[in-house]
Parts: sequence; structure tokens; C-alpha cells
Amino acid sequence: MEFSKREPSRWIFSRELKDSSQIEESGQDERLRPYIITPLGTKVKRIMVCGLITSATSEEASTKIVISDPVGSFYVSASSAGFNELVRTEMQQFKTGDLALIMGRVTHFKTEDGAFLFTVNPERIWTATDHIKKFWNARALRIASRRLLAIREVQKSPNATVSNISKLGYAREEAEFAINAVSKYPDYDFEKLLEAVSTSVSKDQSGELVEAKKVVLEIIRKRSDDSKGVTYEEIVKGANELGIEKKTVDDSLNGLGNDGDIFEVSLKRFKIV
Amino acid sequence: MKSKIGDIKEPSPSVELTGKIVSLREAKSNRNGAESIYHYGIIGDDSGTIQFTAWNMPSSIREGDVVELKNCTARIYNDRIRLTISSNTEVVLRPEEHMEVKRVYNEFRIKDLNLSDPYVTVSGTLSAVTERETEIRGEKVKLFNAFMDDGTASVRISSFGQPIEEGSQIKITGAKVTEFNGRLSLTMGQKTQVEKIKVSIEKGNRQYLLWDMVSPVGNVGFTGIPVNVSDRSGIIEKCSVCGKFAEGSVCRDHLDAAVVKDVSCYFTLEDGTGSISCFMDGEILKKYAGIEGDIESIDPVEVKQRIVKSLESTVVKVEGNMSQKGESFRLKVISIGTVDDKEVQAEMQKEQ
Ligand SMILES: [Zn+2]
Repeated sequence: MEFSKREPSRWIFSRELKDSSQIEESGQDERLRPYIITPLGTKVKRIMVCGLITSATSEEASTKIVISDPVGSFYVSASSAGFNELVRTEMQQFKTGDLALIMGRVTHFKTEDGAFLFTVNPERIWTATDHIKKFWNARALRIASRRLLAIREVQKSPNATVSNISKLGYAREEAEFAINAVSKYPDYDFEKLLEAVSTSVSKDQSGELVEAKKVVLEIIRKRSDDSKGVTYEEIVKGANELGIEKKTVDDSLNGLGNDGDIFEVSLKRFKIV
Repeated sequence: MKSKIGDIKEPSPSVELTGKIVSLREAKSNRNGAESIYHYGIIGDDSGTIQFTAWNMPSSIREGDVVELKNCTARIYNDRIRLTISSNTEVVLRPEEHMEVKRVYNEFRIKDLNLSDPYVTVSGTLSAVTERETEIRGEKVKLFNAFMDDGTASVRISSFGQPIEEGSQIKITGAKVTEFNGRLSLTMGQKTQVEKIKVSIEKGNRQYLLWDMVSPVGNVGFTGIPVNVSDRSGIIEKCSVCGKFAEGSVCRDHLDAAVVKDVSCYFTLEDGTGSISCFMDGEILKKYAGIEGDIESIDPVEVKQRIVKSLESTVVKVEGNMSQKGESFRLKVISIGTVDDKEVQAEMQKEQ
């Protein structure tokens, strides 16, 4: 059994990876993959991302997927070579419009004009739900937001050390990352990145519910002639046909009730107010 | 010129001092492929204490010895000042000298306890107190074991001589942080001060991000996505006497004991800031994975599939007791559940 530390997956938004331009070799061993240092200072080898597949193509030699988060896309590619074969077969089951959760290692490529391109070599891919996507979004945003606060502390004190910053309540690694950010990306606009990410995530998180509430309200309105109201089962069935999960229906009903748009005539029967 | 330990605050290429070895531990280093043994610990005098690393420690030196050090270096390591004892350092034993060491006890929350700050003040509630007799240097002493919880985490505590009471809330000044079987532990001696206090414990606030954890403590929780459910997960056989795995239906310690079947699983939890190896078994796992009835009668392949299906590609909230093996943390899961949309919403509000 192996007890060395597992390289954890970083949950970062595509924009944070896309803006990266710093590579750190991991020691002498050439077999070891280098770390990518992102503008927020995150040391990345492995990432995990949850999002919508916007493109899926498969050719003889490789299978490619583009997966989107609220601010952009990750490019995922598995070749037919070696240990990738199993995950490649799994990848081929996914199509555009599916929600997926992907864990993989990031490789970089430097173009002739010096720009970096990043590709994720998947280790695992799973079918995801809207719920997982929301959690991933929320956690990734929380990590990025906390980083911005740490970065501001580093900017305030030019002699910031890991110990100074961690004394303010940040994890040691988090402090190290914040120091990386300020030293390796002195001209980067951290605030702008966070603002973009935070706005997009908020929209993404609430957007679906807003849509679902409209649909559920419409179902109740259409079938509301009956004085007994519309049954919960009917609403779920109607919404399912339009691609809305039961969980989202529940949230929509709660929301509509709180907003005063609908009321419960009797147990699990709803009517428009 | 001789330095007082409490005055060593800046790096210096050559330090001379006399101090008492408060703690001394051995470790292996694997620098450039060559394995070597070194020592580390704490040395103190009447002005304070300091950590040291010794690449050349005379084998006659023991904990409690007073030594004179010439030509050692003070360096910043991990943001702390530390002494390095190298082959250039002269280490002379001073058996005739007696020395009282001044100890500063910093107050710690249990979650933040760590081996680098071994002398601490901690407050909390005691539970699962047991008592037995033990011998220290030929003398019979009562040993009390318990768990202490302060609302941030729990830790095992051992008290040599001083009785501790079940359910009592106490503040202990001068406990020593140690490590036992990969878990953090507190030890109290006769000199440790104990006072009864009222501890206010905030409930339900034990969910942490993995990178906030500094030591293997108990009763802490994480929310994340399980990955890599191990192939070894599924139905296992346990010894009916000791409860350990019985490979090939035989316990190595109890050859004649009957074996019982149980379910267990290993998985890695990723939370975006780190990963932790989790172990879960028994009723907790059965309930979570929806495995009902007599496991003898269920197809083992199906049991395994249910476990994998219940864990992969879901968001889970786990609580348990941590331990450490090498550089990695592990978690023995004591509760597991899913996360609802409200909790996801709450996650959005954090740090915003
Ligand atoms: Zn046994």
C-alpha cells in the first residue's frame, strides 16, 4: 500500500486555467508532470470539473469533449494509447447536452507566439446531476473568493509569509497560493476575475430555478380549472416531460409558495392564487 | 557568547547555549535517495524553549539531559526559528547541571492542536472516561483515558494520576500533545493544572475544508465528492473475537474463532481543497447504500455495485475520526449523508 500524499484535484473555473502562464517543474524527475500555477496561485496537476458538455467528438485516435462551466470551457481529450483506453470508452457514451463530472490531469502546450493551451486528460468521467453541478460551482466559487481575500492580505504586506497569512485564518496551502499569485502575476486583475466568476455563477445557479418556476406555474395555470387543484404527481409528470427533475420541481413549488403565486388547496394539490 | 533560549529570535550562523532536552525523537530522511537517521525535538532553559533538528546527535543523549551546545545554527524553517545541530556542532553532556525549563502554554482549539506546539492549554467536555492501573518506573499509577471535545473537534486524552470525571467541563493548562497510532492525543501529568469551567460548545459547526486540517483529530466533517471507490469494497469477513479482517476466513490472531460477514468500503473524498481516504463499514454503510437483510443471502457482486453506485458522482457530507499514515490523512466515517439544495445555497454565501 502506498501512503504518499495523493495529488488532490483542484476545483477551478476554466477562466482561471485559461489565464495561466506559469509552469513549475516538479523536481528532477522528468516523468513527473509539472505544476501549472494559475493567476490565483493554485498549483494544479489534477482538476475536477462539473458542467455541461457542449461538444463531443470521437475519431479513431482520440475522443474529445468540451465541457463548460459558468465562465468558459475546458478541453478534455483522451487518446487510444495505454491506460486512457477505459476512460475513453466511457467518454464515448457522453453527448452534447449531457451533464458530466470529470477528473483528470492537466497538460499544457505552448504555441509559437508564447501562449499556453491546456488540455485535460481524463482519469474518470461520471454522469452528473444539476445538484452536483451546483455544489461544484458553489465550492469552486467559495475557494476562489477566499483566495481573493488572502491575496488582498498579501498585497497589503510586502513581506507576507505563509505563517503571517495563515495566522489571519487561512490554511497554509491557501496562504502559499495567495503569495504565489501576487509574486507570479503582479499585473493580473484578480478582482476582475472574481467579479466575472461570481456574477456568472450566481446567474447559473438561480437561472434554472427561475425557468423551472415559470414552467411549473404554467402547468398549474393550465390545469387549474378543477377546483380541487393540480396534484403534485401531475405537476412532476408535466415538468419531467419538459426535462425538469423532480428535485427542481420541489424547489420551484417551494419558491412559488413563498412568493405567494400558488397555494396548497389540500395535501399536495396546488392552485394559482 | 552564550545565548538564552528565549532570546533566540533571529537567524544566526553560530549559537552557543546550555539547555535541557525536553523532547527527542528519531526520524528517517531520504535525501537524494540516501537514507539517513536524524533527530528532532525541543530544548529549553529558564527563559523558554526552541525546536531543533540534529543531523549528528551523540547516541548517549536522552530526554531530560542538560547539554551544552557550541556552534549550532539558528534558521527559519516553516516560518519558525529553529536550531540545527550539525557535524560542526559540539554537544557536551552536563550531568551535574540541574535546570528548570520555562514553558509557555498557548491556548488551542482542539482542531488546531499539532505536534509542533506540544505544550498547550485546552478546554472541553470529557466523555468515555475509563480507569486502570499502570506502572511508571516501578510505581503504581492510576491511568485515566477519555475523549475531550470543545466543539471544534475531539481528541483522546490520558491522565496519569489525576482523576478526571465523565461529563465534566474542564480547562487544562500544561497538557502535552503527542501522537498515538496515527492519532493526536493529549497527555496530562501530576503537574498539569485542571480547573472546572463552563465550556460553551457550538453545535453543528464541524464541517471543514480539508486544507484547514493540521492534525488527525476526531469528530470532524467534510463535504465533497467521493472518487475511487476501492475494489476491496463489499462483503468482508471479520474475526468474531477481535473484529479485525479475517483473510481467507481465518484470523491470524484467533485461528479457531468463527468469522462473521460484514460490509466495508474505502473511497477517496475530494472537496476541492484536498483529498482524504475514507473507510466506512457496518450499519452506517448498509443504511447509506441501502443494503438490507441478511448479507449472507445477497450476491456479493450486487453489494459492491450498490456501494459504488451510492457513492460515486454524488455530493456527500461525512463525519468521522481522522488518523494519519505517512503524509496522508484518513477518516473512519461515523456518519454520512447527502447534501440538500439549501446547504448548496449556504455554500454560495460563504466568504462572499
Ligand atoms: Zn481475531
